Amino acid sequence: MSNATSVLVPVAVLQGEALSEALVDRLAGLDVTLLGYHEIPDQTATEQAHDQFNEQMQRKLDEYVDLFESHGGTVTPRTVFTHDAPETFKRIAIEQDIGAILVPNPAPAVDRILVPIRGPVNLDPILTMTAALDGDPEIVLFHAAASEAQRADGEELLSTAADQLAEAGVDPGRIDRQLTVSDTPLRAISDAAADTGLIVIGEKEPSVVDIIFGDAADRIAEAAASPVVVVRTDRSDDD
Amino acid sequence: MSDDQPATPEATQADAHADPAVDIGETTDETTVTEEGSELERTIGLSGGLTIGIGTMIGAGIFVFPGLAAGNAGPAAAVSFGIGAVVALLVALPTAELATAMPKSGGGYYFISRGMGSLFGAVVGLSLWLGLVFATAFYLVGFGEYALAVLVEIGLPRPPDLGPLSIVAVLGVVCGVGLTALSVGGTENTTKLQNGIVSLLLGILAVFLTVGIVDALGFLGSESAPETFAPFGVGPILSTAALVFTSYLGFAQIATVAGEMKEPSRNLPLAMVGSVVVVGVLYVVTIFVSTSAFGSQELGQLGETAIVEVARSYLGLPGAIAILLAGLFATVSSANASILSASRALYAVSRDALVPKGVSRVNLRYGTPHLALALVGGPTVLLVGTGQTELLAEVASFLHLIMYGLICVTLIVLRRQSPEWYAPTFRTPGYPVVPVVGGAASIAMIAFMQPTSQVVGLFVMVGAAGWYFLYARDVRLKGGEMNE
Repeated sequence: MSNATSVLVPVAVLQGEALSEALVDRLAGLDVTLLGYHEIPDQTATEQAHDQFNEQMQRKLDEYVDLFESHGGTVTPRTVFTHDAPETFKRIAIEQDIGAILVPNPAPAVDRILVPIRGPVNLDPILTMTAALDGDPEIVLFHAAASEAQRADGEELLSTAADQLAEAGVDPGRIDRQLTVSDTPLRAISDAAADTGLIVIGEKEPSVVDIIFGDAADRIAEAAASPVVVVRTDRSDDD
Repeated sequence: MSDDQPATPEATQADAHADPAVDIGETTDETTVTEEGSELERTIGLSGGLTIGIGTMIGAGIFVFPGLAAGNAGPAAAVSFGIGAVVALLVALPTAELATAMPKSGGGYYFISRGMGSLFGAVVGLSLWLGLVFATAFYLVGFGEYALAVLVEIGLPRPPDLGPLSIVAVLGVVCGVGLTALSVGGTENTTKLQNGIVSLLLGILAVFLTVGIVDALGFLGSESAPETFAPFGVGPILSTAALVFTSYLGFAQIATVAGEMKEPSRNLPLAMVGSVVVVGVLYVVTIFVSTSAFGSQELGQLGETAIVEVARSYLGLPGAIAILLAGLFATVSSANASILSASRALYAVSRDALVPKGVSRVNLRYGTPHLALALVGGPTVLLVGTGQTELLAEVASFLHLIMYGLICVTLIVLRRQSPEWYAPTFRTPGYPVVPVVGGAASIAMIAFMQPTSQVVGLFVMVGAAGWYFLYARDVRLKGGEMNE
């Protein structure tokens, strides 16, 4: 699967949304599609916004391309003017067979990456993506068990994941495991994310967009205030 | 190019790219890719297109015209609406063909400027803007009538007129200012709101018209008095057709957002033809039901809100209230859709430098073209102040009908010259009869209007031509020639 490590990075550059250098440094190891987008209200024709803002958009996007390249990464830049950003993300994710979508949040430093693991279903693509991140950040594998009785299952899941990461070439010294018992797993994840620079999480719903704009990611991304890489389901079995 | 040559999307792209004057990018089903390589997302689907068409049209034909039309032509007003629907269809087919060949913002203006050059383009572009301004003003006067009727219904005393301004005009002006401010402020959910309103309207109308038909056909007892079908003869039927043609302007508004339609080659023709058929049927049924409930003279005296009394006679107070509210929503949604189309029309002419580029500048904060919207809202509000329903409607129709006539001519010109870039994916059936008859019928409609409307319409067109010679005579737009 060539696209298991591909990520869509949407940036609303004209709205002043920015990618921190620390985040770019981590993402540089992935196959990045950098999407400069501008969402405009229905009153305005997309061509109209394009006429006026395209140059500005391209200029800012080029700066990010340079930034990625200076960190040793390669990016495919794309520019889209749209009335409906989620629809655009979805189209491009499908078109390019993208493995994950980044929800950008400010990230001053990315020394610690939280990887919440809910079960074995989505494990492979999440770990492949995590292992492909650049630099030597601490990786925290996190599981919230629903009850004390399920603690053992959780421990096993985390140790399987840790082994798999190590096999993929991640220094075991960087891998940390955390297990909490909680009947509100989303809350537990948000709490654990409090001082993390980046979150890598698998999508729960079939659609990436549901996750990005739906309840779960909203709460996690907002509470954490850090960027989130949402890994799409079932990449490895696709073809 | 022969008819049997298949026009694949790839061929369209390649051909469209061959002509810089016509091309603003390659068209795919989901995007337009510009020369700079940026993508413009197409976000309006078939239902969105139908909503624009139906939402623009339904406010006038059902909630403003039935009383006036029946008063002018008797029960034969149904024929007037039928004539309007046929003419609209004859123009919608050529418009759909041109739109699939050039799925870009600007609609009729874009086709005519590329097919016939910049003088025709300027006249049509500026007339389209002002035609939509007149249409918006007309819808807002209709809104004023409904707002007043609501006040009366809930038992408030009729407010006094403000000097020369009737209370209806005042209510319309307030609504016009509000809508303009709302569009400048950039409420991003206007489309969703519009979808909801149109569905609600169609629901209310379905109930009302079904009950009306059942009753009119005599199943519910109360026998309605038979009335002469065409008490005033053929002349009034035709002049009424010209008057109510404003109820069919919406299909061209679909063409103004052609650049944002998904799968344009499929959805543009379907949305244009579909919306005309849907509203045409609704209009004819509405007239039938109305004239079965009341004599046409009585309907004429009830004026713009006659349909409320018709609903009351079939469904009692709840029916009257439902139709009153529906009328408020319908006229607002028509006005709103027209303001947005007019701003698109201004953008299209300013992009081509026929008016200063600054006119359509988008402000980064709200993402909306505030100056263009103000240039629509401002004149609209002035016109609403006149309160002249019929004059506003006819001038709006006049300016659109000129464009329709020219669209038909453009189709014939492009088919005959068959430039390399012209590769529509939808081809008008019945060519050349359909565009010839459609064009001739459009111009003929104008002949049946009141002289005042004809004078005002001509004045606008001469003004637009004058502007072209003063400001933009060196602009070249015709496809096949070099731009600028």
